[in-house]
Amino acid sequence: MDLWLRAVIVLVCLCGTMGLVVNYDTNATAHDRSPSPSEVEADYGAHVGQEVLFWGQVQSVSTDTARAEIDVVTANGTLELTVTGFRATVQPGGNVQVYGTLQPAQTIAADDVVVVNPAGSSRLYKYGVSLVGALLVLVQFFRHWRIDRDRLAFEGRTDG
Amino acid sequence: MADLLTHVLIVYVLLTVVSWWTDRVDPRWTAVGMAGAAIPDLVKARLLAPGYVVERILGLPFDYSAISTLGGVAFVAGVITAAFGRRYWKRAYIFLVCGGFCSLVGDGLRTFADSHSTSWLYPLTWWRPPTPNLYVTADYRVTVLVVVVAAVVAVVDASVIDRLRSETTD
Repeated sequence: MDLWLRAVIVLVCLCGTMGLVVNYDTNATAHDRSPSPSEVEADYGAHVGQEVLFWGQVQSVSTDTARAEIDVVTANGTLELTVTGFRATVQPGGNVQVYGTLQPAQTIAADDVVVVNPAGSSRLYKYGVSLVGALLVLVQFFRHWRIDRDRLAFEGRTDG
Repeated sequence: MADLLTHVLIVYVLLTVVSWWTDRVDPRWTAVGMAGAAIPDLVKARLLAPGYVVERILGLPFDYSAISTLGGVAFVAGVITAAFGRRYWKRAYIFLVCGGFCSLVGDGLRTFADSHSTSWLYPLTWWRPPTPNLYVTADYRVTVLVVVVAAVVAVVDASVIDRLRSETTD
């Protein structure tokens, strides 16, 4: 009885999660204030002059001319863009957010550039630290909880 | 996404400090809250199976980002809650959701080039709340700060608070 109820709850919650994940993807772009990379890729000319917020991987930077080449991931591959007004310290391989106006010839005139990962290695740092976090949660959780094999449920190691 | 370690430690600090004033929070429930703090980080599953791959397999639109929202936390916390013995359900769900909520708020303070964070209040609203642009995830100073604070709280909890507790029960 208990196991059935739990199975139903899990099923309902998983369906709910699935519903959100599908609904989010279906509707998110319609609610975005700026066009998505895939929309821009599909019809570049139609979006010239619009404000965009893109995440991209830096291919090259020129501090003299304040320009950078970035790759933005789209549904079909990557969109290669030139960013002008690029004032940020970042190495090729790093990741940036660019907020600016779409110009002709695959160019964004940046209003603001935020460095998300200063270099490719920053991603490794984030994943490494997150792995430590995951281990910490598991250790801390099972210090206080155990799996009751008869009932297939978490039970406190101490009463209460 | 602030890193998972930061998320988990922030909830550890908050719940441990709260436990100094109330018996309703103890290390056991702090651990559940910490697990809740990890829920929004499940979006990192996209590193193992990118969204467009899942889309092709399922034939449905699919965006992991929905997991790192209020709705995602509410449903995933439900799944985890069902894994607990029945008498724990109510408290487990509350602690899981609170932990997840803290992580969402923490992520909502990150820097965005247009000064608006993600739609993390989804499905209540698609609105992207403004962010004070406090940090980016790769900024290790945030992690260091949180680790130091957590260590101090752990030491205080283990020494001072334990002594006070044993004195009051004596």
